[in-house]
Amino acid sequence: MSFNLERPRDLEEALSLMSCADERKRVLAGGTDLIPRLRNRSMHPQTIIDLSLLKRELSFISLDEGTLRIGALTTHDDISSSDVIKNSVPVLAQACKVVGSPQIRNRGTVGGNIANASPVGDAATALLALEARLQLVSEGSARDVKLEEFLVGPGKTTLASNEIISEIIIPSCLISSKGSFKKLGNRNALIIAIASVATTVDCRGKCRIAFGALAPRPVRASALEKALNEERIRDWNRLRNSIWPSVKPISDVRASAEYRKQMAVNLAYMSLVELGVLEYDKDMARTVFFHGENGK
Amino acid sequence: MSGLVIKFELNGSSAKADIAPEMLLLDMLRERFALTGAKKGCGQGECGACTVILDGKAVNSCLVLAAQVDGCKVTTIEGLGKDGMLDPLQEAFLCEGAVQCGYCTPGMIMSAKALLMQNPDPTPEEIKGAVSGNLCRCTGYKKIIRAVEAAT
Repeated sequence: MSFNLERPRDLEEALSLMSCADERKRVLAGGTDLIPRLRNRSMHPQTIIDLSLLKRELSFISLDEGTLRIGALTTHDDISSSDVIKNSVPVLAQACKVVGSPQIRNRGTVGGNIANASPVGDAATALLALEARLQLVSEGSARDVKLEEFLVGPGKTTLASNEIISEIIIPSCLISSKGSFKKLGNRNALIIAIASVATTVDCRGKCRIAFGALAPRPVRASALEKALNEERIRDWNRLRNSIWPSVKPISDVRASAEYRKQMAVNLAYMSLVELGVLEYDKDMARTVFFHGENGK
Repeated sequence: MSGLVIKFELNGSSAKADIAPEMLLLDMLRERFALTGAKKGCGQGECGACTVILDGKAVNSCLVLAAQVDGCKVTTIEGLGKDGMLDPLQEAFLCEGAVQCGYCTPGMIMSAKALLMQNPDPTPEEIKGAVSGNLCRCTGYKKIIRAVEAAT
């Protein structure tokens, strides 16, 4: 692997470099996704633009007049240990706390997690349940997009070739939300999720649920949300069926599609009970966990 | 493709290196500075055998470009201990029998050191969390955890 390395000293310089026509350029933030891909030769950039000198401008957590803004270069460790995050959007603190390992969390950034657009991205899944928006900047211009529209598919986003993500914005209605992030894997750390669920309950009791690792990109469980929020259904036997339309899992080395469908149901149940949306029902829990049902 | 010159602090002293952009921190430490404590286990950030401390935080040196440590502080296992005396963590690993093949040991100790630098009195759960990114195939981890506890 050989490339030109640019290390812009500020955002202005970085955006000017991004505007250059060179198509085979890649942005480097924490490096935890990019560097393994360089090494296994799944990418061959001509130029790498390293943003690590932009921490002063792009690494921040700011709660100001009811809007939470997080700089794209903020690491998972910074986010998961931030009292502001833990108090205002606990689902995000929980998600960032289970990314990779301590070493990965010390380098990996929330902007990188989003831009990498993995179907299993933990921070991205939690941010989806927080209806996050992104600010995308390029030389002389900026635009604001919904995260849900930004993530298109595995490794695919609507980021233009001259843009970078500068910050993540969480709307005021989701600040002080209750939240739960559940990630299922085959060990306790360094897990690439087999299935994950991010759930938030806002101050009006409205639930938002996002699934990770269960579709080509993290997705909102819209039918389940409608059943909970609009139809006010609280019977899990009825609710569980509303999960199937939202998820489209695949079978891969980590798990089968059938298993993932089953886990989507179980993780959603656990989250909703934990957040007090559903009452804990011993018999229901037994059915959910020990008998399961064939996914439809 | 130009060589880059970087200046940084390595184990408490100033260091300088002329490197290619694609050189990884791990390779620079091992090949340019003969600091072979950090090991190349997986090259993907999944085993922790390459763990060093960068600006106070434990990182996988296989996931950091050498160029990125320009102006930073790097500490490797060789930087622990002073004047021939071992760091308490190193002593504890020896006393507790937490070393078998020794391959994971430098990375384990650096992860533990990074923890103790932030939290000098961790719970066993916090210790397990701190080394959760370090794999050991020999010891079964118990003596490693005990060693970190003994060092506090």
